Amino acid sequence: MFKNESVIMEIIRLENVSKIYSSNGVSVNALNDINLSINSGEYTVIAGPSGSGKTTLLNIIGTLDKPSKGKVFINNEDISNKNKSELSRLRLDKLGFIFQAYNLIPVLTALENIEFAMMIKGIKELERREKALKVMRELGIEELANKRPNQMSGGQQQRVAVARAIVNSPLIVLADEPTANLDSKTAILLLDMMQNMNEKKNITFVFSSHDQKVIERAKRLIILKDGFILEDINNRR
Amino acid sequence: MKILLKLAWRNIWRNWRRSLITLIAIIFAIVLSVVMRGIQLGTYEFNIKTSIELFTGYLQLQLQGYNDNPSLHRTFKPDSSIIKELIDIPQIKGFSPRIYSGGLINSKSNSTGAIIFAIDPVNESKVSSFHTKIKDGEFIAPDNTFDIVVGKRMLKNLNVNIGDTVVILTSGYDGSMGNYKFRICGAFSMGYSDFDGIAVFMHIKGADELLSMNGRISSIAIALNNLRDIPIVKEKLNNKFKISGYEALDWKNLMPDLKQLMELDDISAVIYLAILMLVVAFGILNTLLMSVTERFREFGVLLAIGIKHQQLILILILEVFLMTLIGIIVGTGLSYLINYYVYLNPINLSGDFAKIYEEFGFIPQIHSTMDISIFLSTVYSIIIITAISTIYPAYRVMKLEALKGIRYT
Ligand SMILES: Nc1ncnc2c1ncn2[C@@H]1O[C@H](COP(=O)(O)OP(=O)(O)OP(=O)(O)O)[C@@H](O)[C@H]1O
Ligand SMILES: [Mg+2]
Repeated sequence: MFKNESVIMEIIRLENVSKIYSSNGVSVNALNDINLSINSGEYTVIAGPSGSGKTTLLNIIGTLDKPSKGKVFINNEDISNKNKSELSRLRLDKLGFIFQAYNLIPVLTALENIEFAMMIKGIKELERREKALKVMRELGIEELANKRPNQMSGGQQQRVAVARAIVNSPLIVLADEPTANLDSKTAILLLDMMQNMNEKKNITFVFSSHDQKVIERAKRLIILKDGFILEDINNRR
Repeated sequence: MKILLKLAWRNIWRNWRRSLITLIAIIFAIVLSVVMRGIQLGTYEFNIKTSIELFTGYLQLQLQGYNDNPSLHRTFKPDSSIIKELIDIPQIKGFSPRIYSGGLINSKSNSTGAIIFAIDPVNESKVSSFHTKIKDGEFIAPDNTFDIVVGKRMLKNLNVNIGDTVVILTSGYDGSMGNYKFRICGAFSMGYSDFDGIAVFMHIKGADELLSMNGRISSIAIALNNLRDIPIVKEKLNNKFKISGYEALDWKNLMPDLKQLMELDDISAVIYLAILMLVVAFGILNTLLMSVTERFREFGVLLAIGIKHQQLILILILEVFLMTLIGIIVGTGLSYLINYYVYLNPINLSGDFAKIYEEFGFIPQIHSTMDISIFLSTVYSIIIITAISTIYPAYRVMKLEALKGIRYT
C-alpha cells in the first residue's frame, strides 16, 4: 500500500467559474472564468488586493455560495445539483472552516466545540472524545478543554477553531483571513501549527489572506486581481 | 439530539434575565388565569350548591309549563307510580311535595304581599336546609298545620312578634277567596333582604286548606346524593314522565337569572383571559425574536459547519419547550396552592363588594375549585400561544444563510 502522503488526489476542481453580484442594478464581476484545481496535501494561499474576489472564491469552494456560471467538483463530484441539505452533509463530512473571528459556539466548552460536528454526525461519545483529545494534544491545547470561548484569548480561540476544523479529517480546510484578528506573535504560532499539520498529517489547507506572514509560508500561491487569476505559483517551498 | 438539547438548555441560561422574563410571563399568565377561573367557577359552584340546598332542590318535578307560568291550575295530584319511581332511583336521596302561591298577609297594624312556600315539615328537611336559617322561634312542627315561618324583615314590616297571629288572604284553586289565621312560630334570615321581606313558609296541610287544593301540589323537590348526577336523573325522569305531562327541572331552569348571569360573566372572563394570553404571546414572541436575532451569526457558523436548518429550528423549539415546561410546572404548582388555600378558606367579602354580590343574589364569599379542567385548559392555551409565538422566529431561522467569509471589499 501507498503511504497516505504519496497518493495525490484532486480534491477540488473549478471549471469556468464566474460570480456576478448584482445589487441595486449595479453588477460586480467578483470572479471571472476561473479554472482551478486543488490537490490533496496542498497548502495554498489566495492573495490579492481587497475586493479581488478571495472571499468569494473561498465561499464557492466551501459550497457556501453558488457560482453564477461554471461548475464546482468536490472529489470529482459535481455539486451544482445538490440541494441544501445534501450540501450541509457534504460540509459536515468533508470540509473544515476557520473564520476570521474564530466563531466558536459561546455556550460550549473548547472540547465540546471541537466535538460538535461529530455529535451532529452521531459519532459515539467515546470515539469522538478520543479524537478531540488527540487533536488537542497535537495542537498543545489540552489545558483549554473545559474552557468556554469567553475564558480564552483570541489566539487560544483560534487554535481551538483550527482543532474544530481538522478533527473530522476533512478533505480540505478553508480559512478566510485566519490571522486578521491576531497579533503577529500569535499569528506566527497559529501558522506554525497549521503548517505542521499540513506536513505531518497531510491536511490540505486553502487560505485567503493579505498577511505577508501567511503568504510567505504558502507552498502554492494564487494571486487574484479583479476576479482573475493573475498568477498561480506552485512548489514555493 | 442530545447535543441540541444541551445547546438549548445552555442558551436559556446564557441570557438568564431574558429567559426569566419569558418564564415569569408564562407563570404569570398561568397563575392569573387558573386563580381567576378557579375563583369564578368555584364561587358559581358554591352559590349553585347553596341555592340548591337551601331551597331550590337538585331537581323539581312539575307539570309542564308550570315553571314558565306558575298557576294553581297547573298543579297535580302525585300518584303512587311517581312516588314509587322516585324511591327506586338510587341517586335520589329524598323528595318532598310543595305548594307555591302568593297572598296577602295582614297583621293588626300592617299588611304586605307574600310568596307562600308550603312544605311538608317531615320530608322537607331531607331536601332543603332552609330550616337551619331559623334565627328566632322554631320550625313548623308536623302537627301544627296552621303555623308559619316568616323572614325577620317581614316580622318587622308587619310589626309582629313570634307567637302572634296573622291573617293570610289568597284566592284558591277553585277561585274562592281563602282567608285563614296563622300563628308565626319562627323567623328566618336567609341573608338576602328582599327574600326575607316576602317569603312565608307554611305547612303543606295548612296551604291545602287555605288554597282548597284537595291534595294537589305544585312541585316535588328532589335531593340527590351528588351534584354531578343532576343531568342523569333529570333525563331519567323526563324519559319516564314526559308522556304523562310532567317535566324535571334543574337549577338552570329554576333559576334562569342566575344561569344567565353566570353565562354573561363567563363570556367576559373568557375575553379577558384571551386578551391576557395575547399580551403574553406578544411578550414571548418579542423575547424569542430578540434571542434569535442576536444569534444570527452563531447560527450562521453552525450552518457553515454543516448543521441543517431543521436542526437549528429544533434548538429553538427545545428552548421554548424547556421554558414552557418550567413555566407550566411552576405556574400550575403555584396556582394549585393558591386555589387550594382559597378552596379551604373561603374569603368573606365586606363593604361595597359584598353589596354587589348580594345584589346579584350571591352570598358575599369568594370560593375556589380544584377542578382539573381549569388547569388543563390553561396549560393547553399556554402551549398553543408559545407554539404560535415560535412560528415567526422559526421562520427567520429558516431563512438564515450560512456564515460566509466576512469582508466583502
Ligand atoms: N454579497 C455581495 N453583494 C454584492 N457584492 C459583493 C458581495 N460580496 C462581494 N461583493 C463584491 O465582490 C467583489 C469581491 O469581493 P470579495 O469579498 O470576494 O473580495 P476580497 O478579495 O475577499 O476582499 P477583502 O480582501 O477586502 O476581503 C468586491 O467588489 C465586492 O464588493
Ligand atoms: Mg475577503
